[in-house]
Amino acid sequence: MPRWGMVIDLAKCTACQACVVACQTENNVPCVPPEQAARGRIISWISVLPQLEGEYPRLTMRPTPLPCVHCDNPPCIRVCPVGATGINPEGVVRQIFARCIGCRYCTNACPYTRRMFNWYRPEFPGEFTEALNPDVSVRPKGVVEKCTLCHHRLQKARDQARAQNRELAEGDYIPACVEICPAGAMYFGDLDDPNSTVATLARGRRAFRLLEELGTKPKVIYLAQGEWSGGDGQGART
Amino acid sequence: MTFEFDRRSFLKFALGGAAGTAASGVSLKGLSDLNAALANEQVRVPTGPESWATSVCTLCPGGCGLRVRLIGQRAVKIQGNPLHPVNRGGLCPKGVAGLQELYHPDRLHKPMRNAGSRDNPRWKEISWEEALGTITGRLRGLRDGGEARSLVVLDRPRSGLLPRLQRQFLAAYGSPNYLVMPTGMDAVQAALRFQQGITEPVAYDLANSRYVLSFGVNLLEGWGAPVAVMRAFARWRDVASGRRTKLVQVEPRFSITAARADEWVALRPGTDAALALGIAYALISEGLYDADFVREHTFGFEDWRDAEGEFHLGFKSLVNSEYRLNDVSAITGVPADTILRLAREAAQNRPAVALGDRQTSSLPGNPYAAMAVHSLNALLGSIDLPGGVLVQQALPGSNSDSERSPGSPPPALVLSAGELPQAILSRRPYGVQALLLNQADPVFSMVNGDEFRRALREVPFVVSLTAFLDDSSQLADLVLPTATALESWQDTGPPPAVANALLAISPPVVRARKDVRHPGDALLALARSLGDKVAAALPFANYEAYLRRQVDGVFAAQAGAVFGSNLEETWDRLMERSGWWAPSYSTSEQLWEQVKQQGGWWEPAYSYGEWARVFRTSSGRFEFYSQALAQAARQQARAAHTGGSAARIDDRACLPHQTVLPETSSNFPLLLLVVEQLPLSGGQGAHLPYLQQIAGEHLFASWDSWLEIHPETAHQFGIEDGAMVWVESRRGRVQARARIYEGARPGVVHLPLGYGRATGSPWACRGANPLQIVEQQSDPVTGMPLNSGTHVKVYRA
Ligand code: SF4
Ligand code: SF4
Repeated sequence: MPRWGMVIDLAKCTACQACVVACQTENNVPCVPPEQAARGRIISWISVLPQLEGEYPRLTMRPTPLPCVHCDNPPCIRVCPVGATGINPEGVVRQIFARCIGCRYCTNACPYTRRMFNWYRPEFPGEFTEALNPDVSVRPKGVVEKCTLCHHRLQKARDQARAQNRELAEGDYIPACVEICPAGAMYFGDLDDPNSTVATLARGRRAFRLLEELGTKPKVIYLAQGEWSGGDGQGART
Repeated sequence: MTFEFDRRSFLKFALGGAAGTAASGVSLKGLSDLNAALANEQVRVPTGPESWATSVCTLCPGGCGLRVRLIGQRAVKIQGNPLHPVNRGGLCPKGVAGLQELYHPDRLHKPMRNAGSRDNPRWKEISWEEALGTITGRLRGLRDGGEARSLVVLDRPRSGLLPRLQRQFLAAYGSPNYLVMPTGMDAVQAALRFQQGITEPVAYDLANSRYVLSFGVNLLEGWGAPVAVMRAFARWRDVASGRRTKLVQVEPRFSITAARADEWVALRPGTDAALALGIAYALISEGLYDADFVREHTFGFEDWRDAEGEFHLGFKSLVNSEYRLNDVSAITGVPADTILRLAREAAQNRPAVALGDRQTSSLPGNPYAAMAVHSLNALLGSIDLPGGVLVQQALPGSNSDSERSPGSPPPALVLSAGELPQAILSRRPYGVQALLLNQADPVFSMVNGDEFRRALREVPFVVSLTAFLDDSSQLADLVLPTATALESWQDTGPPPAVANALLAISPPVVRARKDVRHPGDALLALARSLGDKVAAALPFANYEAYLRRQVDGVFAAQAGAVFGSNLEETWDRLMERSGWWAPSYSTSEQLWEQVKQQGGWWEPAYSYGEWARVFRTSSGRFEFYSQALAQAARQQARAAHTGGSAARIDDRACLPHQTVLPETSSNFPLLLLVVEQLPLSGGQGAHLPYLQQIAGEHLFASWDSWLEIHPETAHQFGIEDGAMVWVESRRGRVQARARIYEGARPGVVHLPLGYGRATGSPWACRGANPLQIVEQQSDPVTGMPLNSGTHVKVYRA
């Protein structure tokens, strides 16, 4: 059974946020009105964190695209009083909207701040409803939502592979963010398959995970951006 | 070195971003009931059969290839076309947000006539027939009265064939006045004109550069073809390729590009030319420059004597005497050893390319600074070679005579869009009777927007083609609603800064949502109803037929290939280089069908080192000393001293140099620099909520414009983070929310472009338009535009 995971190469990420918008359009995430945006209520399953440090002119910014990291040991599911969230056998942390009572314990428990609450009935002004994706349900007001790794795409990919009488191959199933990335900075696949691209990259010396010390065991793995090491043919150094 | 992720920034993110706190005092049972009650409010999404179609993005001049997912008749997702050579499957966030453009609640439904006045418009919906009938009547009247030349078309920057159609239309009608809004490449184009004698668009072979020295160019914030640049950036950092390309960003502000660069060099605003010349000095004094290239292909490096025996200053003497490291360091604030190191690194990591200087789409750059930067390319031997500066290949069939008026055409009114209001207001060299704005909004997006507002009032007949009402259409007599990308035939050509000839064509993907037309269809209908020469020159039933005919020209060129995979690209390129051409089509009809299928045609091979093509100066070489500028200066001098002997021209006016910086004043102690960001690149996109949400990402400043200010400067002027402030220049003042930003240079403040429309979608009318207060300075000696900021003061509102 696969264990789905993602690798994000911070050397290549341009901080363009195409991944952010691709996710929102794929998953029917409504835009909140400006007044609510000002209160920090934009829903965005993946965000690019700027991570600015230092003082002028010695500054660093390490823009970090951050979806739900799909912890193997997720703190969020333990706190849910009604069992509205869980981790499936393939390692995807899922939210069952119909069961969610909106208590937001999970949003507090997530150290990565990757769970969002629907404060309002979703609004799709004008004809924006025309662009809704039928594969993804629109969440009602009052529930918590989060990145699903575009799980609906897995189901479609499986159906298609079955129809063609073959096994699911690498690249058949990729989330919308990974697919759109203009820099090719994101990779997706089965971490348990030692030959997969993600598993190979995750073993490399640039690989690290966020807030690993909390014991969450994230399945989103980053590659450090490294630095230019002179024209000595060495490539990126970490 | 390991990556440190600190919890503090997480917390900051949580506070600024989306975090929920548990509501206290509400019972879980109560919430559960509430939830159940709300469940039946749920939005239901209709399903239908899935299909995919090919299109192109028109939200910026990049023209990325699109794959659109359809459910029934609904377009539900925009992705990248993996076969399109510009974007190869990736897209920028704008392209993805294109669905909100298509389904936007504020789009125009029908043509409209202004039944009120210019100052107080009252819009009345009319039919296309009535609208086109009105225009035909006016244009006939002008032509019959011998005033055809007084029609002006102002277009937005775009690639593809629509510019050709507009020129053909005007030529047949009898007007030379086709103008395009500024592109943000204008200073670099000026440098190419002065130093290489080239008017074709400049291009860069970024993917193959080993060292990129960017003088404030917003490479990752909308410059050129944004996705092509991002792909090159990723390639620079592809560990598998073995070697990392270094990106050095020279810029006063810590921009996203600066943040993503390998090195950020913070310099004093407006001193890019001095820094480039300092690097040139180091290259020359250390003997690191490409002596062969300089000897074989350049002019004006050494001192020289002209035909009259008169002595002229060469580039080498100029930098040796005026741009030594310590002098340059004093001007720019960049340490001398950094300048020397940059020169050495660039020389040792070739191909190295220099880009710039800094400019935004709305503010012209400084041509002398661009010449200084481009001189580095000559010293590094990076002109028309892999990894260097190239000249864009022309699309087959262009420059045909049909784009020029027959016989001796009337003289053009002005040379650039920026000069149009002056010409209109002064009626010199002649008046403007009719103005057609083709998706162009100069009142909002040009630095002399208020001048445009006054000028538009003076033009007797103004027509605006646009999908949304905007600040300029507000002053029009007629507004014609245009189709969005997915609703009509679309075509794009080689995007800015890309070298290869290219033509992408795609049929409509969805039925038009409103009574709208493609500008090409509107123009062709107008040509038909005008009859006579115009109808004869453009005998096409619609834009599709026009595009079909242009593909004949591409077929006749017997070169290039239909879009294919990366692998095929390599193959095609190899074949063409060795003189083979193995097309997948044998008739023009087949080419047309394949183009529609795959998304387009292009020329994958570029022939480097065609010196006669890329150096069209009088010397046939790259000119450090521009003889074109010398000639212009002589002409000017002659005009000034009519009859008398021409005054001796200053050699410096023909050589790259650091221009004088505007004086500071105690009333306006701060410097304002306008910035561009990717979501609103080109100042466009504020009407799309998805883009508003991701704008200002580094400050969590979505949905509004902001004023970036350094903490010390803020403290000095008593400004707190988040306070509403006035930013005031000699021209006027605008309001914005102050945001403390460590990346702002002390003493320098920044406002983003693209906010603060007066008219149109309410989403686009938020925030302030910095162009309202920006001062356009020009060089006191040459009159060339400068781009070194506007002096302002900032105080609490
Ligand atoms: S789309 Fe790719 S390059 Fe852009 S922000 Fe996301 S990960 Fe980075
Ligand atoms: S780069 Fe330009 S053309 Fe490409 S997707 Fe973005 S807006 Fe569209």
